[in-house]
Amino acid sequence: MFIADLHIHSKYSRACSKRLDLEHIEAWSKIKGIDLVSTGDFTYPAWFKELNKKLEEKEPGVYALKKEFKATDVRIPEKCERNIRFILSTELSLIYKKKDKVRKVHLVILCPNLETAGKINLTLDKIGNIKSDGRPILGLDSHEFLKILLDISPGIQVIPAHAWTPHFSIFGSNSGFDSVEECFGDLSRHICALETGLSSDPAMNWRLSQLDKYVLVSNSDAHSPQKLGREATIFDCACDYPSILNALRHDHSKVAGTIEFFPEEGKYHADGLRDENLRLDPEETKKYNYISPKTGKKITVGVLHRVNLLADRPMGFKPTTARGVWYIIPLTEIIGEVLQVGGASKKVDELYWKLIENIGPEFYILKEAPAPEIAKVHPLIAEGIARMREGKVIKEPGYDGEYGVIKLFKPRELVEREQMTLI
Amino acid sequence: MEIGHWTFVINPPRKMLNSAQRQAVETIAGPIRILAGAGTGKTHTLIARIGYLIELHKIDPSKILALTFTNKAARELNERLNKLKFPGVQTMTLHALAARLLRQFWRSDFVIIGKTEQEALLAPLLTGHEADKMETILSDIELIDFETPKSGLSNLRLDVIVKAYKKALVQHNSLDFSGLLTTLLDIWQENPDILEKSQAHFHYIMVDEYQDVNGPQIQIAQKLAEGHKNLCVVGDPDQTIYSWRGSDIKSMADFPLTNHGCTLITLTENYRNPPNILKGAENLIAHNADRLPKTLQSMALKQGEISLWKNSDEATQFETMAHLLQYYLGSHSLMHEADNLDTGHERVFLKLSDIAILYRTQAEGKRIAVELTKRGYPYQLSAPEVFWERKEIVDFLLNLEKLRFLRVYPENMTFSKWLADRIDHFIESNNWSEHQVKQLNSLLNYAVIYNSLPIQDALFEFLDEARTEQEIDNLIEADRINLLTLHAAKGLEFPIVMIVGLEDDNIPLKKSIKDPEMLAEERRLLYVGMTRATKDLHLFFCDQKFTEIKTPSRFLDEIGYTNMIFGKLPDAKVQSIRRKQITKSQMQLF
Repeated sequence: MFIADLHIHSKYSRACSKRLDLEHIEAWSKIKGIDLVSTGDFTYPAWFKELNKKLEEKEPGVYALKKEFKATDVRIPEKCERNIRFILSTELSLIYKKKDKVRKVHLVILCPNLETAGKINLTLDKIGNIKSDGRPILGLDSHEFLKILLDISPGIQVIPAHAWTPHFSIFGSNSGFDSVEECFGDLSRHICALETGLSSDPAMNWRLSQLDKYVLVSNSDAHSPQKLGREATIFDCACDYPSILNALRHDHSKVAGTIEFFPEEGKYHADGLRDENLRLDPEETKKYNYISPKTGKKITVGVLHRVNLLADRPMGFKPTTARGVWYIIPLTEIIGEVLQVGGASKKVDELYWKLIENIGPEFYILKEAPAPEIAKVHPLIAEGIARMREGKVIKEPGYDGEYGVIKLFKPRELVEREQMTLI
Repeated sequence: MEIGHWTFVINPPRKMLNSAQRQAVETIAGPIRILAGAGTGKTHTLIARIGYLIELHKIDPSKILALTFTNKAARELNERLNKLKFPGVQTMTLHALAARLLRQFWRSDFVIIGKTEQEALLAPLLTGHEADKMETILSDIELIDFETPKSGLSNLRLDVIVKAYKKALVQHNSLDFSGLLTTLLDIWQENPDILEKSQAHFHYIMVDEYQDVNGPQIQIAQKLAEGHKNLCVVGDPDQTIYSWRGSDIKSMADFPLTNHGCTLITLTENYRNPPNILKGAENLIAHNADRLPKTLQSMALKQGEISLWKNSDEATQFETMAHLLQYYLGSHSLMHEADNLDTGHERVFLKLSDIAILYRTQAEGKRIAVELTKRGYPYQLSAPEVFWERKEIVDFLLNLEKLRFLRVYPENMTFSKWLADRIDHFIESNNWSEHQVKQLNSLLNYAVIYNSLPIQDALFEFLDEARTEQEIDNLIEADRINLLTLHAAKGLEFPIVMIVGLEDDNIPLKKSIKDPEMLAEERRLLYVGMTRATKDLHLFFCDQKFTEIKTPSRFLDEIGYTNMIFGKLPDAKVQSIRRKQITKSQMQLF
């Protein structure tokens, strides 16, 4: 079994951290507990050059960072040391008009080797501008795009990215479609997987029977090293390109499941109006006819609503094809909540590194480490993690641009516990 | 306006053609001149006329000749006619017609040569410094009967060169483009029977873009129609923009003089441009003296504005353009941008190819291309620069050539890694711009496929491919922002048109200002640019460009400031631009 993050960005993508170079991606993958990480952005000339210089193929279609290139400013604790593998993948933005409406869709593509990546780059250069940014923009229909890629190599896999975000997604409310077929037409059979994105979890996707044939994957779409593995996919097969492709295309049982963010934390999860502190679920919104009862303003509709619109099953339905789901909260957020300070503060940083050094990579801590082991370092953290693993979290869903809040403890609990330690 | 099969041209609904168009369609006998203003449905009318001839008058399609300005136009017309089930109509350029007739009646084996071959023939005939003026001399030779020579050579010298050049052509059994036309006229002159046979080919002749034909082309059309006189010419003198290439600006005006009993039709109902934009364009063109008078009326029900943007410099101009692109397209890749730009609007977004940016000079176009690249937009340049001819690529390959025969190459290294190192070294030891560095890096896409070979072999393959790579692997059909010179924009239309460079020595060009005829042509050029817009038109000018102070174009006054809205960026945007400028200038202090 291995944990994969198949969708990240490099320092060359717009609005991404300058520390997203190969050395730091590798280092942070070790800390996070990711085994296989995407290279990201292979269409961008300078990054493609980096990949050619610094990676060497280890197993078919997966690469390792050459020994002479290691991050020197991040200390990797012994318990985190592992061999990290890279897989070639990138994301593209397609903007085009279909059926009288402008569509904007992001697609992730997996690529079997550097040679094929070079061919993809040469072809994409004839379509749009791949020299401007890590994630190129193409004025091309998704169906046409898929056709062109299949002509280059049948080993290329297209995966619709963050399938439910309001913008730039295949099912997005703003500029998406109502089905995979509507988007990819007669080539839809070449789509085998969908990326849930931060804004959806498998439970939301299980409500649509049309999606049963797709295996759900989750990835971080990281714009900085610390966000790597924010979500991830767990594979139960050999860690090489052909095996991964087989798992995605033919044998979904080889995808053990996904590690998920609580979708309620997204800022467009529920419906509502931020200015009025009005949060609604989809049924309530419909009852009010999409207009605020207080001010008559149009209610901003969220992802849940969109799913509801397309769903043909009730909430809570679980198909037989369903894979495993593990919900997590980033460790820094848990620490932040327990210590009652901001996630970026020094105290959080110190405790984070203490946990990593003493226990192991972040995923291990969040998913598997026995509670007593965590409690040795910090009992409250151990309790918080236990609650998270059981799904006993307090959720305040986000809406209309307002981020949601996921809490493990009631505020009073933390105060009481603090007082108890003082005694 | 899509029409469907043409039977209803004869029956109602005749509302598909307005009255002037209908008259043009139904007048088939004798000479007819159709003055077709911009956006008045000229092609629509032409096609209807052809359909009418075939459907109602049962004319054999192969006897109908439709002459177009470009090969592309000929192909497009052919396609449209085929779709409407009117195959067999002869569509081609005048040059193609001349070539065909010459091959049929004169010689079948001559070679048509283009610019490269012309220059090759000319080179040995020139001495010393003359070789530097090759292009101008060629142009002088072509326009020798119409224009004063610009190359600075004496008439005597030019005569000698022309004679030697023509001799070389004969020796190589070659004809250049203008030679096609003049030779045909000569053959007809010397062989009346050949003229008769040529004339027998076609019973109905239509010439499109007649405002841009030159002397020989006029003569050919006239001679061809001498017998039956069924010559229909269509054009808009207000869109003559190729007089510098020898077109006769009087062609439309003189037509009735040489074709007695000619029917004159003017199409004035414009279906393309919103009223406000058309008004501004008409105001502008009215300032040209000696026009064939016509006033266009906008039939479009849509609203649209001319926005005028004053910018302190080109950098601010690009910021304004970027703002407009975001307004029309919405965001293109970032989520948080999308939150701001895309949500909460009832606005309908456009696709990339709905936008055209027009400019006077290629240099401006290249600068805009760099800016669009910075912001990630895919674009299409009307004169795309060839990757392999880029300075930094040529220089790098020259350097690489020297490494063909090293004694030792590293082992255990892929070719792409080796090349990547060479590229890095090359970048470090020179001062290339960011844009050029990106181009150099992209060479690796060509290199990877040779990774299975040892480095020296891979190097040979790579260099060979570089030498023979043809850029004619066409761009794949996709939406891109259109970047065009004003000349290249003719005949096209876009919802959003942005015209840059409206300063007084650019539009109009400095050298054209003193010559009233050239100034009139510059005015027509802007008129063409303005009449491309079906929704919104944006005009840009800068107070300053590269440390030179600029004056707004005199044409803006002629359009009429009251016809334009003064563009204003939202305050927040203005502040952010100001901040960027301050940061930039601060950085330059170090």
